[in-house]
Amino acid sequence: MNDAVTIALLIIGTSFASLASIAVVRMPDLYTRMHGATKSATLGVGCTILATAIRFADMETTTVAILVIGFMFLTAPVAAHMIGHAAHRQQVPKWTGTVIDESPYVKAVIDPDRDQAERQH
Amino acid sequence: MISSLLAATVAAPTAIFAMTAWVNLTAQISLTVLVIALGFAFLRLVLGPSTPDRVVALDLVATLLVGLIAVSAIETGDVIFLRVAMVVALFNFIGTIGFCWYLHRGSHQ
Repeated sequence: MNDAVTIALLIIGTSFASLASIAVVRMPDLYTRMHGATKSATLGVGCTILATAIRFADMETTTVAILVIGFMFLTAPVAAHMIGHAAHRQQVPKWTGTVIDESPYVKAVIDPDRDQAERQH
Repeated sequence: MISSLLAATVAAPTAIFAMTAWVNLTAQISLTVLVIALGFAFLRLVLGPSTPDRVVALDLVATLLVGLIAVSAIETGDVIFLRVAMVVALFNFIGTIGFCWYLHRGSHQ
């Protein structure tokens, strides 16, 4: 039973991790790449560490595993937000199919005249 | 590896030994797939047109490294590898935040 759960979690985690790396290579745009890499890789690695905890099934391993999973689930969104913010501020080019960019920051700082004109209209 | 797996499956009196062999086989296949995924992430690290692309790729490399260390803990049966994974996760976060700090600073000039 333990071993079956371990095998299932290993397969799920490895699949999600490899999906993340395929997304990083295949996606057209920094922001879509980040979307694929951050969420999918975090879920996959979390499943893998959970598999380790279930495999060894003692107290200290489970404690360390829960610690690592909690830390990764806390830090991965923060790191992704920082990268996205810095990239948007540097005006990294977007994909041509991008529909909307709701952040007012770059328009106000980089191009103040156009921002004023848009606000008056 | 395959022959030892078959021997364990055939010769083991209970199903537990066979399942342990299957876990080892799955761990080795997972290690292979994760190394291939690391290769794809390094491809984006080399190709990446802009600096934030490379930061995303480095973040992914370190995250996949944590998974790789966890799977190698299963494969070798050594619990101490999980501490190594914890330290790698910590340094991954600090490194990404540092890169973003420098990206922010660079955009002022």
